[in-house]
Amino acid sequence: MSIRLCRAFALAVALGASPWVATEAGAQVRWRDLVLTMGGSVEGYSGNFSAVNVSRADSAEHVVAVVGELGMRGALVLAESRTRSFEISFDGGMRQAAAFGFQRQDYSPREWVGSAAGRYTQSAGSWGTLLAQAGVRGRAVRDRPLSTIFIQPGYTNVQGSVGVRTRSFDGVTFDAQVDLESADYQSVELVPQLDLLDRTSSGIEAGVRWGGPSTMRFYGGFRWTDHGNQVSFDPDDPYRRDHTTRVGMEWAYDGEISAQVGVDGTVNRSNSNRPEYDAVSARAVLTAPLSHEMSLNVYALLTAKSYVHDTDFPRLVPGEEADNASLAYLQVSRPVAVNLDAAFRLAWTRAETYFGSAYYQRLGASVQFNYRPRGF
Amino acid sequence: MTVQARGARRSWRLSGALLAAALVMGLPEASAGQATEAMVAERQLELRAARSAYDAALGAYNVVERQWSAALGEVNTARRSGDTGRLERAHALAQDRSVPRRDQEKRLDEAGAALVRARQALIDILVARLEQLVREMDAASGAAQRAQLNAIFTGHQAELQALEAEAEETFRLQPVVLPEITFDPRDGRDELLAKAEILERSAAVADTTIRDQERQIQSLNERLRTQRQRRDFLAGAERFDDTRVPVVTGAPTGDRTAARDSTVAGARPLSLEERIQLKRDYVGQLQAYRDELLIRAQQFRRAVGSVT
Repeated sequence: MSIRLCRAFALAVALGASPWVATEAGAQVRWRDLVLTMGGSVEGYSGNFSAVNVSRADSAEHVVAVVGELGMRGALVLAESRTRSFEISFDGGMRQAAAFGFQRQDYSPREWVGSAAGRYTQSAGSWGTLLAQAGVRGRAVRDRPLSTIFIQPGYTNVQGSVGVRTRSFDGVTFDAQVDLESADYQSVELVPQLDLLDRTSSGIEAGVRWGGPSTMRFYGGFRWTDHGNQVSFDPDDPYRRDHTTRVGMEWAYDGEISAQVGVDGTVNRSNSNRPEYDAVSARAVLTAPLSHEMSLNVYALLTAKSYVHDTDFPRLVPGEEADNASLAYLQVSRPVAVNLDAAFRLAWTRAETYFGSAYYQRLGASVQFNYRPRGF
Repeated sequence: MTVQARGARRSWRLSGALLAAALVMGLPEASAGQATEAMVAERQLELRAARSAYDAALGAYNVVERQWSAALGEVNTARRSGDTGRLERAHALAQDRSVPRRDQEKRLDEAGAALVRARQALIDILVARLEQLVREMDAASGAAQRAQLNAIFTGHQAELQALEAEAEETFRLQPVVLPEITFDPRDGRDELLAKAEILERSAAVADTTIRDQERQIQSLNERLRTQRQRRDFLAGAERFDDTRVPVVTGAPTGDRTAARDSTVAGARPLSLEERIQLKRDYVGQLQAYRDELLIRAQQFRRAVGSVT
């Protein structure tokens, strides 16, 4: 694991542990969950997608990759009482692929990921609950391939938020939060343009929710983002600064079947004409029990955007190169032994740009095993 | 949900909307206070009605429960007697009595849900009224008026605390208490046998409850398994950033529904894991209770032999 990732993890633990220092002695510590994951997949990639953060393009239209992965995640409750709780969660993993079919050379990309977060909640009398959260997420990629295979570059992301969620007033609850975020992408000698993705941002969001097993939530928020390494072409205000308005709704049902459907709209404005766009995104997650202890899980995401200003040039906004993307995951899971679940998953992703009809597509089939040690 | 419950819910929403409208339109504090007091009184009545309905449903359930337990006792007695005809009749009776028991159980569940809704509606309006009272006390013209408002405040606050404490006890299990059946030196053969049968009947009822609880544990375990498989699915899909597509930067933040998995302080609902553990503990108590009943029944039966 890279040194940066280790530092990020240490920072997360430090951030997460800070409220714990103020917690009274004698509070009960318990594991809430611990899961070890192992899996393998076969994936096919195709396309000619151009991204700012990939140095070169390979003329191969289709490549195949064989992938193996390991992962672990868990949650530890450090303090829990009637009025407050403090919990640390973590997730980490390694994925190794062997990709074949490139024109120039084959690749063996290896990804390391790790994240940790501390979440503190405190009831505020009979009015509601205060929430504070701090977390870090890191990612490192070795031997990142050319763009026929599109995988996200390495980065370190640190974020923190504080918020409030009210009690139910005649069946309606309200929530609000402010957050800060910083993302640092790891540029390497051959790909210095990864620094273009660095950003710091802050945001506010408020929401209202009502319902019982079936709930509806409307939310809206505003975000300020500084891209300190991207120019705006305005001599008086040389670096890109965005302000983004986002409104959305989410319906969720929690019964024998669990379902979530959400739609949100984004209006992004900037001191630079180039990255000004309006976007809409729809997301659905469904879990349904099947016979023989099996369950069906579906995840779908559609995102599309439209730029405010026309241009005759190819528009490659770093990190936002695609004009639309669709994603669908379908998984069937079932226990195969005590504390051991097996899952078969089909995944499909496609992203496109209107200019030059560039795209990338990923289709994969994987088998995963999730093991919870005895007692979890 | 019953038609009555739906009507009550509409009435609460309408009242809430009227209150909100009154506050927005800036009615004088005193008028708004009177309107809210009227709604508090209305919801107190609704809660009282919901409590009565629940108590009635509980009473009816207890009657059919006792009849059903007696029928189960008769099944046991018939089995021991070896009389096939009597056993068949006892089985038929137990079967017949299980139908009204199921109906009453359903009615009890519905009445319980209506009671929870009525209690929550009263809690909501009491919270709003307490806020108003604070403002009214600030604006009070004299000490006498402030004292009067303070008395109302104290009363409402006590009622709110009691209701909240009651709401926290929603997930309750029946206490396990051994019946008061003791050996009396004057007991003859028939009395001893009757006491042994009562204890065995109670053990049979405990057995039924154990089976019922175990079915509920199984159902909760199935839900827990599905919930975990869902969490595994989402974690697996998102771990390596495969669901992040290069269209827009970032993702919606804030209070997502997924946060339900997390522990939240305050009057949080019990997690599935906690509910399962509570029920397992309860089953353990019930098993010990049943075994104790059977041991005592055996003691009574042994004592029959020593009676001359």
